[in-house]
Amino acid sequence: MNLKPRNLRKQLLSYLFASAVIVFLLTELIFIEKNRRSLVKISDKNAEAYALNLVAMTRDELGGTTKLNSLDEIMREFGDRHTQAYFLIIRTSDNKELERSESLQNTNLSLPAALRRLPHGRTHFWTTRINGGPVRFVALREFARPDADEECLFIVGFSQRYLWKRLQETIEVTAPILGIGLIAMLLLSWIVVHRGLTPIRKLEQEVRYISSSNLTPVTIPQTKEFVGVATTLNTIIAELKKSFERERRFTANVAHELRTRISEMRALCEVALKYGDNLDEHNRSNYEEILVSAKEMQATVMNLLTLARCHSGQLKPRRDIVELQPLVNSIWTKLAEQASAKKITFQSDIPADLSIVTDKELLETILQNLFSNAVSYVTEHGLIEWRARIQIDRFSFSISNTVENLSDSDLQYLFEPFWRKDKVRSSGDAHSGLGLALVQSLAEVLGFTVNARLTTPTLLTITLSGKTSQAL
Amino acid sequence: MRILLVEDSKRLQKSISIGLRKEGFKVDATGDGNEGLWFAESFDYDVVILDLMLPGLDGLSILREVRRKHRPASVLILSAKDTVEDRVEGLEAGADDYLVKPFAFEELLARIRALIRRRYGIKQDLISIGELQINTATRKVSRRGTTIDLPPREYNLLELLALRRGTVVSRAEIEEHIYDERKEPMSNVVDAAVSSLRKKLGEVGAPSLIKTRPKAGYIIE
Repeated sequence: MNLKPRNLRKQLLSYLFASAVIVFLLTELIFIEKNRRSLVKISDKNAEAYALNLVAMTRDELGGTTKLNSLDEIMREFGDRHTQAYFLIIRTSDNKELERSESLQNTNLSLPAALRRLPHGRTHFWTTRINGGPVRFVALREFARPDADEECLFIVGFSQRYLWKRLQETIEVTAPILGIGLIAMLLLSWIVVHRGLTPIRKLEQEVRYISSSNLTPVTIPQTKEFVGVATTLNTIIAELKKSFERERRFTANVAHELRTRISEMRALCEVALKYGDNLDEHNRSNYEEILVSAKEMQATVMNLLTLARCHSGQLKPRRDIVELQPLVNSIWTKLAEQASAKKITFQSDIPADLSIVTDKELLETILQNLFSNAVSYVTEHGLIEWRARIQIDRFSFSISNTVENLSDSDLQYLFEPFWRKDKVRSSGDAHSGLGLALVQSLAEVLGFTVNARLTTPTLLTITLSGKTSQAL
Repeated sequence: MRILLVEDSKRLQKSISIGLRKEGFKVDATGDGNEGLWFAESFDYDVVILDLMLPGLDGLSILREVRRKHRPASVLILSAKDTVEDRVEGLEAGADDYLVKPFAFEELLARIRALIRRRYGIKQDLISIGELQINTATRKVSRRGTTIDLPPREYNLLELLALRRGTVVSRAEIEEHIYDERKEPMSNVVDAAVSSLRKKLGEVGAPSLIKTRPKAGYIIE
C-alpha cells in the first residue's frame, strides 16, 4: 500500500493546536461552571434569606389565618404572576398549603420526597422547571408561630433565568478572549514547531543531496537528540563510500581484465584472418567462429559493465541538446539491412524539430538497444513503428513491434537481466538478454521512465518518457 | 614507418606486432613501462601505441615524460580504461588519439595511418606526386591508372619519401623507419631498395622521381 507521507510540521501544529483548543475549552468550561456554582450559591443564600423573612412574617401575621397582609409591601416581587419569584407555605402536620405567592397561581409544584424527612430548622435546595424555565427553590422547616407547635415548610424559589443570562454574559466576554488566546497559541505553536524542527530541517536538507555520486557526511547538529542520528548516518555514508569505492575498483579491474582478454581474442583472430594466407578452410572457419564469439562476449561484457556502473552511480550524465530524428535515423540505418532481411514494414513518426536535453551518448545506447531488440524479435513480415511526441515539458518515445508468444504476464520480466522467453532463447541469436535491463537502468540514470505493454496481443510497445530537459 | 608498441599482454602484443609488420610497419614491442620509455626516448618513432596499466611505469607517466622531452612521435593510447575521465586525462596528458579495448584491428590500423598523415601534414589518404598516386589507406601505387606492385618495404620507402616530400631523408632515417636492424644490419640495403624502386617506377615512366643527394640521402622534390 502506497501511503502518502505526512508533513511533520503540519502534524505537530495540528496536535499542538488541538491540545490548545481542548485546554482552552476545558478552562472555559471550568470557569463557567465555577461561575455558575457561585451564582447558584448567591441565589441560594438569597432564597434562604427570603425564606427566613417569610418565617418572620408568618410569626407576626399568620395568626389563625393564612393570609400574609404585609406581604405585598415587603415581598412585592412575589405578588406578580409574571414575576420570577415564588413562595409557598405548607403545614407539615397535614400538608395543607397555607399560603402561596401570586406568581405561583395554580402551578402544581412537585415537591421532592426529601422534604418529608427535612429536620426542623434545616434547609433543602432543589431545582425544577416552572413555565419552561429553571427555578431554584429552598425549603425551610420552621415553626409558623413560636408559641404554637405548628411546623411549616417555607418554600421560596427564584427563577434561574437571570443566572443563565449572567453566565451568557460571562461567555460573551470570555469567548473573544478565548479566540485571541487560540490565535496566539497557534502563532506560538508555529514558532515553537518551526524552531523545534530546525535541526531536522537542516539534517533533511543535507540528506536530500546525498546520492551515489555525492556521499558527503552530514554536519553534526547541536541538538543532543540528533547527534546520534547524524553520527549513525555519517557512519553509513562512510561505509557506503567504501563499498562504492570497492565496487568501482572491482568494476575497473573486471573491465580491464575482460577487455584485455577479449582484445587478445579479437586481435588474434582478426590478424590471423587478415594475413593468414596459408590458413586452410577449417582453420579459417574456426577463427571466424571464435571472432564471432569474442564479439558477442564483448557485447555482453560491455552491457554488464554499463549495468554495474548504472547501479553503483558511476555514470555521470552530461547535458546535451539531442535532436531525436537524426539520432534515430542513424541508428535505424545500421539496422535496416537486418530489418529488410525479415521483410518487415516500418513506420517512423518523429517531428523534425523535436529535441530534448539529456546525455546524448546514453540516450543513443538506450535507443540502440530498443531498436536492436525490436528488429531481433519482430516477426517475419511484421511491423516496427516508432513515434515521438512532446507535450508541454514532457516527451515520450515509443517503439512497437509485432511479436508472437508473448503474454501480459511476461511483461513484468521483460526488463530483468538475462530474462528471455524460452522460445526466443532457442532462436540462436546473438542477444544476451541484457538489452532491456540496460535500457531501464540507463533510463533511470537519465531520470526517464520506461514501460512495456501489449497494445494488441501481438504488438509489443515500449515507451520511454520523461522531462524534455532533465536536471542531471 | 616505425611504431613502438608498449603493451603488457603478451598475446595482444604478439598479434598487433604481427599485423603491423604485415602492413609494412617496423615495430618495436615491449610489455614493461620502463623499457617502453627507454625505447620512446632512444628512437624516432612515427607512432607510439601505449597501454596505460603497465608494470614498472604506467602509460601516463611514459606519455608525460615523452612530451616533456619533446619527442615528436604521435601517441595512441590503447587502454581498457574507457570512462570519459580516463580519455580526457589521456588526451590532456599529450596523447594524439585514444582507442578503447576491445578494438577492431582495422580501426587500429586506420587510426595509426591517420596519425602518420597528421604527423606529416597530409589530410587525405591519397598522395599525388605528378602523375604518381600513392594511396596510404590501400597501400596501392599507380601512375596513369597503371598499378605498380611494390613489396611492403619498397612501398614504405616510397611512402616515407613522399610524406617528407621536399626534404632529404638520410639513409639512417630510412633504416630506422623501415628496416628491422636485427634482421637487416647491412646499410646498403637502403641503396638497393632505392635502386629497385627506381627501376619499378621507371617501368611506368617515372624513373627520376627519387633523387640522390650525395652523402646526405634521398629526396622526392
